[in-house]
Amino acid sequence: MDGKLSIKVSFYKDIIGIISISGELTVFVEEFDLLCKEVLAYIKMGIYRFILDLCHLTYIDSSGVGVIIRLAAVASKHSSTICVICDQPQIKKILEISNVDKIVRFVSNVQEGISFYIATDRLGEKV
Amino acid sequence: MIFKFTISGREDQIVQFEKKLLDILNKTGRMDEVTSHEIHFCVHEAILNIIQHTYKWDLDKLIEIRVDITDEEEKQIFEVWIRDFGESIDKPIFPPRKVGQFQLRKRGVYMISKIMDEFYVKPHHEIGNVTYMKKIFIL
Repeated sequence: MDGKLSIKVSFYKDIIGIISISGELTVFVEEFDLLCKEVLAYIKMGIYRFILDLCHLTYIDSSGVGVIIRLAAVASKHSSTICVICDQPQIKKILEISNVDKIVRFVSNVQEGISFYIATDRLGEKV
Repeated sequence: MIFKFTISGREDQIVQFEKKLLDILNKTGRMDEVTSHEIHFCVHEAILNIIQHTYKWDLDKLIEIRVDITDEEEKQIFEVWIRDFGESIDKPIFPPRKVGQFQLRKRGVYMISKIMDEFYVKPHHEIGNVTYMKKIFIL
């Protein structure tokens, strides 16, 4: 642990939030609260489709897993799901142990996530 | 090998301790990187539980940690005892067998139980509680 978390957010056509998280996703880092507030703000704005890029995540604990579960729960209420990009074996293992792998969709890149939403949520007709 | 630590809940002390723990796991543990990451995760979760639930975010309260790594002929045993000095729990805590799809509470202890071979939290006979975890690596 080195106690750093960095978040970058962009949007695809204002309806898909693309959140890149790097560093350590744990309640012990200062930026954790910021991430929670930011995510909550997007949910209040009515956004429930998210692509989480965890490729540069080095550590995640149950509080970090909790953020992903919250997003997945919101997506589920809209009969959707969230997409996760993760090529770090130790992070993927934690997501499997927590059963999060059963409530998210793993994709290999942002484009695959966008394509998934276009295909499943008929986004092509909405944008 | 026995390693003993005393830390507070302050971020810098936790970071320093977890670095040392990873170092111990990588140098003395006969496990791959993903497994040492899982062990690290469990110890981190147990500390997080104490800070959240027992110490209620009073970050100056102390936590004592003892790590034992025992080499036997065909296995290596990793054990950790984490002692807090907060209010003792009424009865031992054992993890749930399963958690709901979107359930947040108890997911951390559920995850520890899936990684470790043995895990419980019991009240200490003097003051506070003891979290115990054990993992056996067959060589």
